[in-house]
Parts: sequence; C-alpha cells; structure tokens
Amino acid sequence: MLHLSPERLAALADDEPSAVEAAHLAACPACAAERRAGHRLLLLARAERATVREPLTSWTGVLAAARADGLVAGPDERDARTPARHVAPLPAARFRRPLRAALRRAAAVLLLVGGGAMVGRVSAGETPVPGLAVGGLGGARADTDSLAPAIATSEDAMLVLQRAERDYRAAAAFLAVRDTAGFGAERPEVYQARLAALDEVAAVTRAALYEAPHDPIINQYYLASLGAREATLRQLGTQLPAGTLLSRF
Amino acid sequence: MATDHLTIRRAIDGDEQALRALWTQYAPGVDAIVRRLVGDPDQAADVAQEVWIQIFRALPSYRGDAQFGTWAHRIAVNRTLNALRKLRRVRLVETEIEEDSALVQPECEDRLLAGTIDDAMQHLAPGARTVFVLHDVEGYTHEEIAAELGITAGGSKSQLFKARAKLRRLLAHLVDTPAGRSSTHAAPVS
Repeated sequence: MLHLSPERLAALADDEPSAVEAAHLAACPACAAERRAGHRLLLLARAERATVREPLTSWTGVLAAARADGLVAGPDERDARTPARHVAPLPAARFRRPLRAALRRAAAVLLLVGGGAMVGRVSAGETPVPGLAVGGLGGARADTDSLAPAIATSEDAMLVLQRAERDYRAAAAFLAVRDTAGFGAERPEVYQARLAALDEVAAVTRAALYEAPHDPIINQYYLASLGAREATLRQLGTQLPAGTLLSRF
Repeated sequence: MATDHLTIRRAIDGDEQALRALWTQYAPGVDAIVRRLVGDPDQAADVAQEVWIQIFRALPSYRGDAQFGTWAHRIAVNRTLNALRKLRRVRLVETEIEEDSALVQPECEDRLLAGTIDDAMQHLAPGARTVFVLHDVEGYTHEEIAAELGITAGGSKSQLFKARAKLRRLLAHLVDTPAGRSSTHAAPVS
C-alpha cells in the first residue's frame, strides 16, 4: 500500500483531501491516524496562543529604556509637551469635538461650584469641609500624597474614586443643610442659575456615559454633578419665601 | 479587556503610570509572541524590551481601528521579525529548512521527544519556527506570512508542512493514538 507523504498528511491537518486521498484515508488506518495526529498538533498550536507565561520583560527595565528614549515625562515636561503630542487624535467617534468641549465646560462648572465653595471656606479661615481635620491646602496635599502608595491596582484606584465621590456628596449635603458661611446668603436666582448649569452638566455627562459607560472620570463628573445639584436644591429650598414650593428642577 | 482611551492618551503624554498600566495588561501576550518567534530566552528578552519601546513610540499613531491588544501584537510581530532579520535568522530560511528537513534523520528525532509544543518549537530551524508560529499559533494566512517574510505563499506552505511533520514526531507522545502507524511507512501516494 502506498501511504500519503508526511508533509501531505501535515497539510491535511487543516486542508481537505482530494478524492484519491480521501479514498486512501478511508482505507488506510495508519494514514487516517496520522491525519488525526496532525489535527491534534494543530489544536496544541492553537492552544499555545492562550498559554500565559511569565513576562520576558520587567517594568524596571522597560521603564529605564523608555526614559532613555525620552518617552516618560516628568511633571513639568508632560505639561509642556502635551499639545505637541496630541497631534494624532484618538478615534473621532469616541471623542467628538462637541462632546469634548461640553465635557470641558462641565468640568469648569464643577470646578467653579465645588472649588469655589472650598476656596471660599479656606479664605474665610475655615477648613475646606466641616469636620475634615486638615491643616489647610498644604495639609490636604500631604494627605493626598499619603494615599498614593496605597493605590497599587486599577481596583484600588476605583475604590478611592468611589470613596471620594461618596465623601464629596456627603460633604455637599452637609454644607447645604448646616453651613451658612459661604452659601446661605445668596438669592434664589443664584441657586436657580446654578441648578440650570448643573442640569446641563448632568445631561452632557449622561450623554458621554452612553459612549463610555465605564470611564471613571466621566462617571465621577456625572455623579458629582448630581451631588452638587441635590445640595443646591436643598439650599434653594431654604431661601425661598415662606409658603413657596419648588415646582420644577 | 478593553483599554480605555484615557489611559492611552495619558501614555502618549508620557505618564509613567499609564505606560505601566499598558505594559501590565499586555506584557503577557506581547512577550509570548516574542518568545515564540525568537526562541532563545536571552535574545527574546532583549527583543521584547525593544518591542515595548517601539509600542510606546508608536502610541500617537494608534487610532482605535482595532483593539489595542491586536494593534500592539502586530507591532510585536513586525518588530520581532525585524530583529530576527538583524540576527540573520530568517534570511536563509529556505536553506535552513532544507538542511533541517523533517526527513533527514527520523530515527534520531524519534528518540528526541519534547515535553511541550513550546519545547518542540525550539528544535525547529528559525525560519520554520517563524512560519509555524505565525500560521498555526497566531493565525496568519500564507499570504500575510509571505508579505512579512519576503517569500512566496507556496514557500510558506512548504515550510509549514515540514515544520508540522517534524513537530508531529517530536510530540508523538501527545498526538499519537494507539492506532498510529509505524514510522517505517513513508512511501507517498502517486
């Protein structure tokens, strides 16, 4: 009996036999077994792709090479070269210009609302958040630095973000109900304008979440805007004339 | 797992944490393809580091048309093949595969069984290993391999089948069944 060549049998691992070859394979157990062995080899090869082994590289080595290549920026250097390195944009579908502009506006509004309140309290000689035992802005920075080593994974970072978001909302609610130093003296129109701005922020960030539902930054902005909106609503409720009820917002 | 675009943007800006996040997520896959193509662990480690620098350099050109892992994988293959050319491992592919033919010394090879397919691939000539890895492990077509290596699709097929035949013998204990034929049968069908 004439057998198929080893190379032809190897080819038949993922190839269809001709009519003559098929007839031979049907009649020759040895060649049929050889073809099955070829199939198994192919399965082993495909499984090899999913095999995970220890990386060849270490981050220390890669980082050193990246630094030598000028690919890792220090804080000042990163700020200085950011515009130049943004020449090649990311996919337009994911980061549409109007959306980016809206997000920038949203960030600006949040910074004005939240940051303004904090700065106002600090400039009045009080802590940024009542009950928060830090020694001014320098103390807050030191506190942030002390948190940094605890963030070793993405999960850690997400937990910190979630905790910060909870704290932010709690602090905003606290200020809305109990604090009168920085917020309480404003007219209802101020709160209404703020609510309108926060509604715009919430709408923009909600739309952004449809495109990037897992993005932690957008989630953070969205939740913070909801928290600030809730706090503003409470403040507005305390400033309306007696007997007046909120009918919208 | 998808890589968020914020991480990539920060990495483009040279943010060390973002660069490290990319390396942490994709090093197992990227380093694995380098290891398979290069073979020698020491040389593979050097090439893998070059690959990562090339990936970081190329970040501004990533436009999101493919998954980041796929894009990085393609860079890893291209860069590794370039490195192999420099090492003169691929340039004499045809000669090497003929010299290292599966049919040359079957008796010796039959006694040299490999524990895993990874071990067995180390016994292939560099050119044959490249074709086998690209086709059977990575899923490249013969046309893509031909373009990458500067050979013909037919040449790629020829090398692949010889590589498979050799690996089949080296891994006989893993792929054979009790009904497997004797190695003395080798006469081809006409």
